[in-house]
Amino acid sequence: MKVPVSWLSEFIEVEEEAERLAEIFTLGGLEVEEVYDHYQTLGEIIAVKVLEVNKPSELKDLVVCTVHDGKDSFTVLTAAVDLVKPGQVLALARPGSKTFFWDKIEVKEVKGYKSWGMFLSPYEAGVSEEKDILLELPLDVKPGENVYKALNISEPILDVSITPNRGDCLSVFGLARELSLLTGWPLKELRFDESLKEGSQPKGSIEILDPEGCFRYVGRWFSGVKVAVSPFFIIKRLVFCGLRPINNIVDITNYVLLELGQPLHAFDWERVSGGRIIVRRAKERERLLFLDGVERELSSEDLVIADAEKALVLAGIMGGEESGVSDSTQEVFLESAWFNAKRVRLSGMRHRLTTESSYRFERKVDPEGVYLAMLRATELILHYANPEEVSTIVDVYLVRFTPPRIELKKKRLSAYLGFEIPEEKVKGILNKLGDLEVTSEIFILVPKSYRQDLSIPEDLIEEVARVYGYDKVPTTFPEGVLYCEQPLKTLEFTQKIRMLLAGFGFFEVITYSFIDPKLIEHLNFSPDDPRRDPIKLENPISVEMRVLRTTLVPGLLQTAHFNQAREVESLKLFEVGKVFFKAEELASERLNLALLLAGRKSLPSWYEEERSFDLYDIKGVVSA
Amino acid sequence: MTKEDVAKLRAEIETSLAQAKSIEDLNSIKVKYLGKKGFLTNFLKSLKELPLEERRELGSLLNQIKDELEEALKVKEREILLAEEDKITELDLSLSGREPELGALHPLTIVISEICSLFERLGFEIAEGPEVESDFYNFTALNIPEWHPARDMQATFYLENGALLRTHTSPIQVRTMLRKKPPLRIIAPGKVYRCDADVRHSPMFHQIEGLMVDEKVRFSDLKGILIYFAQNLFGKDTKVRFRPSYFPFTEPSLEMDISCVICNGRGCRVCSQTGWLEILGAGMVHPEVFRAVGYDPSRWQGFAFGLGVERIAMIKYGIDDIRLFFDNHLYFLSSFK
Repeated sequence: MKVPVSWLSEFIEVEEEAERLAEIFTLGGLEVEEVYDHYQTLGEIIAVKVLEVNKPSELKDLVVCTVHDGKDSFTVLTAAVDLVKPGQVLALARPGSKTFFWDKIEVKEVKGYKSWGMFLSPYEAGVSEEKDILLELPLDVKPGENVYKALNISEPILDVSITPNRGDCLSVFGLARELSLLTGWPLKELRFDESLKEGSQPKGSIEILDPEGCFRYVGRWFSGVKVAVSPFFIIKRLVFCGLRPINNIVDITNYVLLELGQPLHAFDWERVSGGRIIVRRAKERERLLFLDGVERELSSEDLVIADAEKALVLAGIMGGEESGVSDSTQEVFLESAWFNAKRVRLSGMRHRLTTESSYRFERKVDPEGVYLAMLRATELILHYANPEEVSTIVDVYLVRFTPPRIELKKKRLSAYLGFEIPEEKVKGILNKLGDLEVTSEIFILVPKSYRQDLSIPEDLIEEVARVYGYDKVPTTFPEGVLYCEQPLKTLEFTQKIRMLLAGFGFFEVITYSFIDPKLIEHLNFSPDDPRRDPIKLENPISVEMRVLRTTLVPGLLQTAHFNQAREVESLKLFEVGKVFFKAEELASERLNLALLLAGRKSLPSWYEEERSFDLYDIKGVVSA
Repeated sequence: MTKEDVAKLRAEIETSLAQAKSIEDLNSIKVKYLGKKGFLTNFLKSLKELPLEERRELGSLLNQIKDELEEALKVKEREILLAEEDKITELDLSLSGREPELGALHPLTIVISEICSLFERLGFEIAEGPEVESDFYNFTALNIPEWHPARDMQATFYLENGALLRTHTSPIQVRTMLRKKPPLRIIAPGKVYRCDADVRHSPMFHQIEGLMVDEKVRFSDLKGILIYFAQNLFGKDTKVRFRPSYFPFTEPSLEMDISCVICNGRGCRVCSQTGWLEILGAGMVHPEVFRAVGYDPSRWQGFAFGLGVERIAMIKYGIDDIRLFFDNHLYFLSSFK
């Protein structure tokens, strides 16, 4: 997950550089794969000095600018006819680079005039929302310099790898919370004004017919909304995280998803029939045209959000084309819900769909966060979409979420880890994870709702150890009861054979267990030889590797072929490996040995003539 | 016997001596004339039958021949031996000998062998398991239920009969624990399969799994064993680092890095500028796994670890393309004699 450090800093007082933050997360269990400056990933975006501006008559709406980049002069065509003047220093994206919005820049030619790049507006450069002017730099900037470095603009991003058990870290706020746990730096708690909860009469009803699939559904209506371009800070942050901006309503749902980890969905309320939102199982073979333009057939195992007539959304995964928010939408219904992780995953696998939304539901979202996300979204919609009316919040909360009560015996903690952590430290760590009670013998913790990865005492042992620091765990050597087993006979035997063959001058090879069935055909086995009937792979990595080998010979032959094509003139090879045959359960595996001799037996020398291997060489080795 | 007989004998002896070319020839002459049934011996014996005058004359002639023969044999022996010595130095010692050609074991076999020995010394026994596995042994018994996102971490090959190719050697833990009662210590090498292919990933590769279950196995013991392993395999000055991680079948889980052998921890392309190379995952066996095999988690504790053999071989031998192991080019294989 990509996290801009500047966004993270809104929720926690960051006291270190990006590289150090990466190390803290990595040593805490969330591996940071990369730390980079987003603006430096766009490519060659440099300052150029405008030397001349010409308007040839053949070019109707374009002018030809001659610019200098500190090394060479070249021409750039632009439609910003009234904005370019000699003497300016402008931002130019060179061929091979991209704009902030992923548009690739190439060399262009119009009527014989070449354009070696494109001038960028501040918007296209990702600097500000101004689209109608060109990005100009101060005149003292050297031509050829990177524009962002010249303007002192950088955006450090951490690419954090979140393990599947930490769904609570799939958001900026979640990572800030985790960072606070690891370092002790103060976290800015989420605070929302009470007035955000007020509103008018809800415009419809919400029913949950499948409580196993969804036990909490929060909804709110916004009327007279102005769908428009999002404010620039939202656009920037979506782009930093790899998402495309669409319009303010959709962007706000994505922004809250990235910020708080709660997926939201916005409906065009006028496209919802009967004023009813129903959370139910799909009817077997019910059809839905999805946002990606594909119509799919649903199963009764799928959870959908439907209106009085039909399914509108595959819950938690992707919305339908018809009920989505478009530029003409004026009435919005916003959903924030908790969907069953297992059901969402199975549906995703069934339809082969993975989205930012389904990814988070599969890894469990916070039942309490569902409501908070609605407040945050309200805040943003009020500011940036100017609704005329907002309803109160409808919170259908069927079964209150109760976290488990975990008991960890103090003795077990130290026996498990192998040393004593001072009790104050243990209490300090556990206190941050939920409600802690301590008796003389045990720690009792009821974890916070967002830590659904904590359910057994061993989970707490891991938390304590990793926050305290694995480096502080001492090193000991295990104690155990000595016992002795007979070594596997096959192992000793195969080792002996390997050593013997190596001593005879053979080289061991290891080839793939999957082969091309055509190669077996070439070996001309008799029609009822079981080796002719290999086990097929359902999802082979390639057509040439689609069955499990029944003989080691094709692999050796391919190896010989590979070597001979590279001028190796003498080969003595062997392989010890398994071959596979069909069986009632799983497969029948046999360990086989195969030898191959090819080419020259020996180089001509003073004691021997050159000669090729023959059948008797192999016979000799086999007898030995 | 007459004087002529004696003269004939002398002539015969002289001829034989002249013709003698080898030590064997000399020995036959010795036996023929001087042996128990030799001619000279017989002649000397038969002197008894002669009159006294002849006895003395022939006797002294025969004894003279005997002495001369013994002397001549010695001289001739020396001559022959010297001639043989000369013959040896006629050989050209600068010529190459007939070198027997040595083959070699595959580098992955060598690494597996080395690692298994390390653990066998500590009393770990080698265990094996089938490469074609069931969903139960490969996932479910290891606390990875069917719908769990952790399955995304390992792209699985499926067979036409519904079985799968094991994606890790961890199923061997389950099979062993079902077959035996604790305490136990196993080290289990084997081929594993994942749908993945590029410079660092091969659809088939090798892993080694370790498992120790006993009544008092601790997290600190796991650290100790892994450090022992790293230092014995990579050198006693190897620095290691432990990071928390996640596996559904261990809790707590960790990953171990060694300081990058290329840049010594300073940061380079191989270690992505971090200075560390990840070599294995490990952790304390999850109680759910114990329950799946019928071990009482309140009595038994265990640790498990899994390492990628190719990765370790690539680090140890400075190989940067995993496909070299399976191309089996002879020049590559010859470097491991």
